[in-house]
Amino acid sequence: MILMSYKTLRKKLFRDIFSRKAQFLILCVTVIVGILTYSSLTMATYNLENSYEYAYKELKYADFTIYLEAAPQSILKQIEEITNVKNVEGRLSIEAGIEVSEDRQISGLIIGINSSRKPRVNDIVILDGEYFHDGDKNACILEQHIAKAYGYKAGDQFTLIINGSKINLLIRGIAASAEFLITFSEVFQISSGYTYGVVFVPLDFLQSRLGLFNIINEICVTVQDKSLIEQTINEVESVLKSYNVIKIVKGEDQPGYKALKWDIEGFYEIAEMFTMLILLVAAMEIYIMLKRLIISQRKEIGILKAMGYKRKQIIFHYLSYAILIGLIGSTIGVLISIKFSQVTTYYYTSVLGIPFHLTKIYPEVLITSFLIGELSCIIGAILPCLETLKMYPSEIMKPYLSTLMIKGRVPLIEKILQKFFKLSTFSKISIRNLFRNNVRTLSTILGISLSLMLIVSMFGVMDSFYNTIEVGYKDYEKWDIRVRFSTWKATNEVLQIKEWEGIIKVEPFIVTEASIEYGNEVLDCLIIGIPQNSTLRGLKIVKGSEFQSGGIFVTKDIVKKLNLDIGKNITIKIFNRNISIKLFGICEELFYARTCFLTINTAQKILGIGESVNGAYIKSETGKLSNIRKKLYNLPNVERVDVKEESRKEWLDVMREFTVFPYVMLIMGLLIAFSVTFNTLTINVIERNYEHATLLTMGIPIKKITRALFIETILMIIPAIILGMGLGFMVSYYFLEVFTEQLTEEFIVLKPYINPLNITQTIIFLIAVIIITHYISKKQIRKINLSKLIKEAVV
Amino acid sequence: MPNKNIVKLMNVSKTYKVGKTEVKALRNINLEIDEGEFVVILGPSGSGKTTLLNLIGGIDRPTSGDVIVNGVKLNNLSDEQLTEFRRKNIGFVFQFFNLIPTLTAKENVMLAAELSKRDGEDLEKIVDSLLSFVGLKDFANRFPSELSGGQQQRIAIARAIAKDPALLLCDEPTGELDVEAGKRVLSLLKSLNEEKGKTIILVTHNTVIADIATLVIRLKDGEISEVKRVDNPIGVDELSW
Repeated sequence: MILMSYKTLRKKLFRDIFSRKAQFLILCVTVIVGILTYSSLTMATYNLENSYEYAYKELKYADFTIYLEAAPQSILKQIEEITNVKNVEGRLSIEAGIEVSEDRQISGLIIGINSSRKPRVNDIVILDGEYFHDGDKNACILEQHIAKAYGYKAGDQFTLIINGSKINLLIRGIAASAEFLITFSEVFQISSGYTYGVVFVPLDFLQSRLGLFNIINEICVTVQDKSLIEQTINEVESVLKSYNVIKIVKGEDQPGYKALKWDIEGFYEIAEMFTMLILLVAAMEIYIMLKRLIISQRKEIGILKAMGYKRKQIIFHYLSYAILIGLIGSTIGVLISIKFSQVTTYYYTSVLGIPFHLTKIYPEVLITSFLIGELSCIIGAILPCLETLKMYPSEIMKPYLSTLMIKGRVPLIEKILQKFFKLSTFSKISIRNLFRNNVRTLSTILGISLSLMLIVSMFGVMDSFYNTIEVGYKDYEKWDIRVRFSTWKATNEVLQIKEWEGIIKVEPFIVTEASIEYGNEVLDCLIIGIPQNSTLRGLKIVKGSEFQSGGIFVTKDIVKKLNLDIGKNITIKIFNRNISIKLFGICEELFYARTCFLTINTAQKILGIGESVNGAYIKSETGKLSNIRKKLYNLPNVERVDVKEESRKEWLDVMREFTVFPYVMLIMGLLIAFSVTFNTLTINVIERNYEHATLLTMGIPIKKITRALFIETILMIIPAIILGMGLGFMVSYYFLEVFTEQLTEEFIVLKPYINPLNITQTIIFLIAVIIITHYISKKQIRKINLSKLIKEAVV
Repeated sequence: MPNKNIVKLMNVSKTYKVGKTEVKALRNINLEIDEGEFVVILGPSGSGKTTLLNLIGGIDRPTSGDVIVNGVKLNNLSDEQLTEFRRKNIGFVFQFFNLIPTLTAKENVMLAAELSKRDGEDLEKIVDSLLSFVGLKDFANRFPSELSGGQQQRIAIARAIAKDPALLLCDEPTGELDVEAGKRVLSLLKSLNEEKGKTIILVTHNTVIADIATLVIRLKDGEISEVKRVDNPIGVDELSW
């Protein structure tokens, strides 16, 4: 008899689920979404890390690189002999122009490498074509980004512009390089290959074109024992003491490496936080569903207890609903995540140009994900299940229990509203229904606000990126074209550009890398010298004096790092000199947080370069850009020419690729918002069917009933929206502040921003969900079997 | 002058489908009820008495035949039209009271009174007088959870008549009440019938209650087995069950 009862109880479980299949499915979907997010993104993070670590290892990524003015190739032998040095590779690199079409040129990094063998450090993997032939002269190998941007293939022709001369080269191959998985065209700007390319040429070819025979200016080193790297760097520095070393950068400090690491870590942090929030919502929804189910089945619970079922059997019966939801949701979530993680990994490695796609299944992640999903469901179910303990058969089997169970009261808000408005009895129903089940109302508000928070926070991250770029190119970089020279040029010579056709204004500038020192701290930075009244380079001074000669203006980031105050003397370390200068002011800078500004005169004085500059900002007439650019590349010693609109567009395109996953998170947030809203509204309708039947029987039109439900929903949604928006802003701020700390230091200073249009769209989406659910509710109310329901007294 | 017909059923049948089985709840019912009658419909469980009440009240539709209430043929009305019909013509009293739990006693009555579109001032007075009529003026601000079953049912009666309907339909109104409370409810219904001229149709399985009716209809297996006119119905106080 007992065994039959257990089987019957199991039958009841499945039949109950079937009668509430829509709700059950929605809850399963919520759990699937949560587990899918966590499992797939965790595995994708591991896969990406493995892929790029493998790439760095296979391609013998340099442990450190020395950048110097010039040194003879013979110095490499001395460095090889240092104990901890594993391999050394010397290169010559310059910035130059690339002619991508007859009327378009872009800038590029030209790197001369050994053509008789593949590099022993910072190797490249050939994706198309082949490596150089021994003795190759007019040949090149393109880094994959520029090849992809312009559709170059092995065998095509390629034109470099060096010192105004065009050089035609044969593309021997297309390659991926661990150094340039993420390519930076400036210290802060990621390039997709559209405005900046990396080109490898035979070393001796480049040396001969530049008249720098046997000269190198980059030395790439790998070490045997990474723990001794500092010592090794010191030893290398002493070998190179006679040569002007500009900087030594460790592999882990290269911008591309850091950006990649940041992207993957950030990706993982977002995924973790999102998963927890989604599962919290799932737990709350299960709580609501089970509580409702248990209340509606209290007669049955009473009967089971009266029959002699033990408490733990009844508790376990109801817990089984949640366990089943967890089982189904977690299993499907975990299974889909296997494929999803592979797709994610493949997508990201392709976008980044990582030449190796290492994917694998991580059983520990799958098991953890499954357990997290299951546990969340059980946690949501515990309290309602324990409430069955409070139910005594004699009480719960009273027929009109529904009216006894719902303790009516006049809420405070109604009393306040009554002072200002005459509320109809019907409108009081809407207000009071909010308070008839406080836990459900609160958990609905919380569920919707958490979903909104997910959506708004993702918009916050994406909008902040986009807005920062837009503001940067509007308020700071106000030029149309910017040209940089590889040597110092007389200011007058540069100003002659003003005479060209189509030029409105020319402002010379100086830019150079340096270090600044205060106390015991030294920071690498960029020094920019601009005219005092520059109109083409925006400078926002937030504290201190007006922009003037004699002092330095630094960014807030530098002030924070060095603990500076206005009026203090800091030391600029450049070209083997130490120059003391007073801090006149603090400025805001979006692109590259470690920037210092000087007037041109002060910069020239400090650098000891007389009346010379190495760049110019240009304002041009519309439609003249390409001619001006062409002419600029024909000038001698032009290192690079940047067109603002192209740079801005490229930034935005790159950001769009990196914001795919925030969009995926956004979609998940929308799904959760839908499921929470739908679930709650459906429960509200179902549990009040008998009340609706009574009202319909009294002659109250359906429209009025559904309007009351709509008002009730709106009264819940308004605080949910306010809370969700607030939380969304806070969370997006948190994301921007915490896990982009690294980013802020190195690349871009993000200003928190959420586009009002995105907020509006989110609210419209929510309202659309409510309207759809209400349409469904209206249909449900229409289908009410009045004659049956008015005979029932169940809640 | 003879009272006019308020309810007329002509060859009315109702069949339900329960799974694959067809259940004939009512078979070929012909019935006329005059205005001002106190009708009790009797029958055992499953005899079709609630179905009959539901058809008269416009909350169910006949499978065949015509249902005419207060001159309106209900068969062809749409759902919206039926709702409007009920609003104007019918008051319901349910076995399980069916009060809205989040509204006070007064507000439950007001909910129905507002449907009759009388102006605000009159409504308050009307509702107060109704509460007095049912003897629960002092309980106006109590919620259903704070009232006994009998008190809830009396509030339900006040609600049912708040719209001043032509017809009051009561489905086992004393089913959940003890004798004392049940008698109080029946007294109210009797007053409504005798003092205010309301037509009342009451469904019950309790044969004793039939003694207070002016017209008793017995149903058996979905058919009318007996229609008995009672010229001198007894008072509620004389009832005993």
